Amino acid sequence: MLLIQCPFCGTRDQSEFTNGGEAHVKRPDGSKEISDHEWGEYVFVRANPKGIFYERWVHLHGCRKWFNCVRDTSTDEILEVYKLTDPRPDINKFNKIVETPSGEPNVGSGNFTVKK
Amino acid sequence: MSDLNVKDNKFIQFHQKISFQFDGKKYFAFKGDTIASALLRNNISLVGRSFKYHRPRGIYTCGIEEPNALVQIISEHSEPNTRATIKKIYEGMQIESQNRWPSLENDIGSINSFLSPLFTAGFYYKTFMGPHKSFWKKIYEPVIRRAAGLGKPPKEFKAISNHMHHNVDITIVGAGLNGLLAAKSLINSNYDVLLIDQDDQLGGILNNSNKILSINNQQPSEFVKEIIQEIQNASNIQILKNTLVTTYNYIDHLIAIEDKFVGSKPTNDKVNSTLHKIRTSHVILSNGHIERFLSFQNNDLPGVMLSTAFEKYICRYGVSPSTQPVIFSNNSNSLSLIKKLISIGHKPRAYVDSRSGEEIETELFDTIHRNDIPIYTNSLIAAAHGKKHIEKVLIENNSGAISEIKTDYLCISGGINPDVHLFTQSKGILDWDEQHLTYKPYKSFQSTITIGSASGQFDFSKIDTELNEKLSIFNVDKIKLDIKTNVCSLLKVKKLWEVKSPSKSIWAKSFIDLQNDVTTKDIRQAISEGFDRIEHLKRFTTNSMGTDQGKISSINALGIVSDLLDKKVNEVGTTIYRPPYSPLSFAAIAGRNTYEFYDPERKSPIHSWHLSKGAVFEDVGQWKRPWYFPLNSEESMHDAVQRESKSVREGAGILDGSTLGKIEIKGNDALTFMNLIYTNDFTKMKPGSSRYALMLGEDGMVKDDGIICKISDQHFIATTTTGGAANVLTCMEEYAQTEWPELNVYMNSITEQFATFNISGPKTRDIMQKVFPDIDFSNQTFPFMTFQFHTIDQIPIRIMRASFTGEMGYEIYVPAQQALKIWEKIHHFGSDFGLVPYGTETMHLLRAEKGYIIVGQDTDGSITPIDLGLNWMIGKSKKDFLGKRSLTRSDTIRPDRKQLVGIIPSNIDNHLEEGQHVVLEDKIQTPMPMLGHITSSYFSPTLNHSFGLAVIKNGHALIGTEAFVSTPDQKTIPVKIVNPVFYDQENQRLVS
Amino acid sequence: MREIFRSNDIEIRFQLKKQIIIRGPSTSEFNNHLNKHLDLLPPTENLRIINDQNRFLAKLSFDQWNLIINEEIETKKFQKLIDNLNSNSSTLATDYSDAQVFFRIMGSNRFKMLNKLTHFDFREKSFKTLTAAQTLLARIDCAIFNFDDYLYISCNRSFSEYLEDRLIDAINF
Repeated sequence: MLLIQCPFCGTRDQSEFTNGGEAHVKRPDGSKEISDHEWGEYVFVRANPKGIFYERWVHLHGCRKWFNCVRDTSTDEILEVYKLTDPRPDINKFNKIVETPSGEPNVGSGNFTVKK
Repeated sequence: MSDLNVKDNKFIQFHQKISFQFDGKKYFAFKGDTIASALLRNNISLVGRSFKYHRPRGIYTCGIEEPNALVQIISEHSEPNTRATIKKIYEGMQIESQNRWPSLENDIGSINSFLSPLFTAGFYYKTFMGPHKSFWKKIYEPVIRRAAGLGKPPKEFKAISNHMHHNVDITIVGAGLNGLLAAKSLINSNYDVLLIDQDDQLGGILNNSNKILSINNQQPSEFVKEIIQEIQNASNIQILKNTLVTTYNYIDHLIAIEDKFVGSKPTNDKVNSTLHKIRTSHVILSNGHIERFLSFQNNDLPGVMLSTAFEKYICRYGVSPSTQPVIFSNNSNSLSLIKKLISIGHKPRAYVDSRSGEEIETELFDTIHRNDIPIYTNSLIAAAHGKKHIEKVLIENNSGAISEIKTDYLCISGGINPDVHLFTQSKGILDWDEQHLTYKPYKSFQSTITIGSASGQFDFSKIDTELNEKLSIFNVDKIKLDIKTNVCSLLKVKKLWEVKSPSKSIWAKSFIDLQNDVTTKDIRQAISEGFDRIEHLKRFTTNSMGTDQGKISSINALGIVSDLLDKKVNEVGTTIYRPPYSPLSFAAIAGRNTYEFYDPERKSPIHSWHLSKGAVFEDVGQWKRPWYFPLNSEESMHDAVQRESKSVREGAGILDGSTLGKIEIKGNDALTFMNLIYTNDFTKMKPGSSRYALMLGEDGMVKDDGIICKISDQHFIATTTTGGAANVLTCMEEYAQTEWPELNVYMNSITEQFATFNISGPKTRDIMQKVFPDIDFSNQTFPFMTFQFHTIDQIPIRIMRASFTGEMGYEIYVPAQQALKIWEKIHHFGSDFGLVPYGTETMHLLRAEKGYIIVGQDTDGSITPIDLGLNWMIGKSKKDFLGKRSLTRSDTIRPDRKQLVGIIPSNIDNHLEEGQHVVLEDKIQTPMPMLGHITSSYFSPTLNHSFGLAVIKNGHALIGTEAFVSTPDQKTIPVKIVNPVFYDQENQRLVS
Repeated sequence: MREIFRSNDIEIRFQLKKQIIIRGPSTSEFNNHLNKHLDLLPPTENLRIINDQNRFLAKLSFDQWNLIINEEIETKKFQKLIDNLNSNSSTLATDYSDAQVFFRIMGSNRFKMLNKLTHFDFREKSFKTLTAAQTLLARIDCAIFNFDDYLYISCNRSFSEYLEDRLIDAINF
């Protein structure tokens, strides 16, 4: 059970939240023509990196507000929580992250997909 | 028999005799005894049969680590696998040994022991996966497997357990010497502290051993009493006794189980156990250590016991299992036991140490010499022998000579392991301690501090230094201790993982995992078969996979493997210790969320009315909805539904639709927002009108449907399905917040504010006119798909002309508190017109006759509006809405997509079932190409035959053709594929 | 108001209250709009409650305020208030008087009892007086309003029997 800091309600138990997958995925503008492939990428494809991940959460059983969060998927450590209106934090900010329990590198194992 | 009781003991109340039964025989013990100490007091050492080979087993330890002494408590719903070393006895307790038949003494299952050369490592894998599977079916499964196992599952009972959540700053796990000292330091600090111990007596090693002579010139017992008093008086510290921490989750979240009936029989009206869920900022692990055993031939015989356990039975439980045990060790840890035995007038029969005379500590050597105890240095116990109890041991010296000593008990010590289970559960990293030959905590992953022996710190003189250093982050006062002990100044261990058996017999066994009956030979065999990774080896041999998780033996197994592979132990690594530390019952995990609280129940504002009318309820999500209203106990569901639906078609019926979702949407950009959320175009819609609307996922699939009422371009009300209400609101909030934050729009759920009544049927208008005489219900002023707001007798009432049955009808929205009044009023006036209440089943039947879909029944997340034939609902001129682009994806425009059609059996006597497959061929063959399946099927009283809705490939083009429906009994039913609207295709009844 | 339970250390009462959920942007214009019709300056800090004798107003998020009225109020007057609040097209005010029910919980044992049902941290340092929180209680959504020596807990009306049973159960077990 994680502890998550809702930017509006403070720190709460994970059970109050729902994960919303990758953050900063922009919905294509419906008025512009785009290919099946482009649209399919938006609807079906999301990153699933080992390591630093920018993701969305919603405080569903609280204030029902969405926010973004930077989480290290290899340790589950939440590195930063920020509002939708806040700028995306620079990835280079997170170089001092906790060592993984297994001692493996935080990023790697052949699935290095963190988008810089 | 000499008296085994050691009456100089403050934990056992020797004046309070308790009787209990073991395997049907009555025995006596004292208040404070565990089952194990009670049995030892009665000189019983055989307490169970082993898992696989049915070997006689006794009491091996004196705590949670016990692998053998598991018993069934008959007097507690026949609770199985109870650790005899933990569970306290009470008057009248009935205990049974496990895994034996017909009796513990004469157990037929022990035949497995003779067959044992068959059951080597990987036995299950090989017989499951190997070429002789029939062998498994015919012999292993019926004969052998029945004989293997632990206790029997408990009989039917309702356990009572509850949950308790804690939010604290510091949790101290283990109230031994270090835990108590840490808690004392935190008295009156700004931290909320939770101190947890599995025992009912705090003090740990101070109570359980003879190791400490004095602390700051105080007797250990006085010291404990004083410090506990101080801690109990502290307002910032809460103590949980009889509570075992089983789980350490991320982030600093502990699960602990508290036994509320220690030493008394659980009752059926009180909570038996509490599951504590603890969220803390820091965890101090002071949960101590566990002694290792040693492997040698027949090291499982009753009468073989860990040294510290023997010492604990004397010190804590006032019973000495034997007056003259043999002690076998590879380390310095037995000194306090020897001193204790001497002090109560007992004397070890021999002391056997694998170390040389020079290696053995002077203090230990001197004590042994002074007391004339025979000492065997450089020697090993090669084997223990005896039938159902140890009778003699074979001692082998370093030149291979074997001597024999008769004995009734053997105390063994293979070294000491910090209890790292919780630390590793917390994902902390371990390191190999070459000095003590064990894994110890190295690096915390969470806010974890380990102190005392749990951290691998075995030196009593350094306790204060360690505490001062590790607790400095809490800014507590430094402490200074003067501890005098009965132990050697330094703990020294010599490597000894197993004693090779002198016997070459294939029946000779040295166990490495007592609970799962894994032998050292199994380990060797697994390695020779290539399972040399420790996690593979664990699963192949089942080593340390018992309920005790190999607490006394897993390090020994690692040692053996490292020797076999010629690697260092830390290169072999360790298997991951997984929660729970000790088994948790499902009852404890479920807590009160069972039976009547299994799932929260939602009730309509007029639920009481339904109850009074004998409604049969259906669960729709968490809602209780009337399914049908039987007239009396004679009327079947079919008859009730046929009657209800006929009444609606001929007169009028009313449905409690309060569960339907209702959302109020308002804001300057509400129109733009609604146009983006739903497929329909609401721009040209007149205020005061309503419209059936569809909501899609971005993948273009139908997600929900409902009716949208437009109050103005800035204000809408949307209805949703019962099951989709929360999801639709969540989806709207998501898009409003994340995709279109520039839009000024807000939404509130009004599902709970208003009760909703769906009244329909040809007589409806007459009824409504009587109920609401001030409203003009004529078709001109109140046409189909419009709505009006009224205030009647101070009650705001909203009425919409809409129908889900195909008959003319209204939806009435009434504030929940007034709902019953209005509902009864409608029934009062409706009775003259034959108004009936109907339930969800009739509603389903009526809507299916009309070809109206139910999202989630006729759709399954793979159906687009085009598949449903609802192209007319798509606002094609709109630039964008959820899922719009997906409707022109190559996959969604495939002609062979499954599409909604109607199905009628060609022979109207046939009945169709939901889920049946629609096929093209009359003959059943394999494989049978499937066109699709029936999503809804009912018997229509109006059509007088069975009919259904189905989704089938290219269905729209197949309308008018014939197909078949497969049945489970290898027959097919010929059917006609038809238009899905079976009733009033022209909507005459709806709009009139 | 109905008394559900009373003992030395806990007391629970069931209440229905007039309630309005107000949604709108956290702007000064909006605050003025509220102030004009409520004669209360809405709290600006999240989760804060401001109260006067007969009502309290809690800010449950950056765009949501709950107004709860403790006294009887004429339906017409109440309806007028909602209409006034709704007169601004960028504001949504919804009558929640029938949508939710309130449990007033008093007594020294109230937090311990509630912690059988929720993980929520009731410690004074985390949950100050005159603040509110929305959380899970007995697995359903609830709002908790923290006053000096009592709490109000509101939940959806359809769950009222369930929650009442759970509260009693938490006292008994």
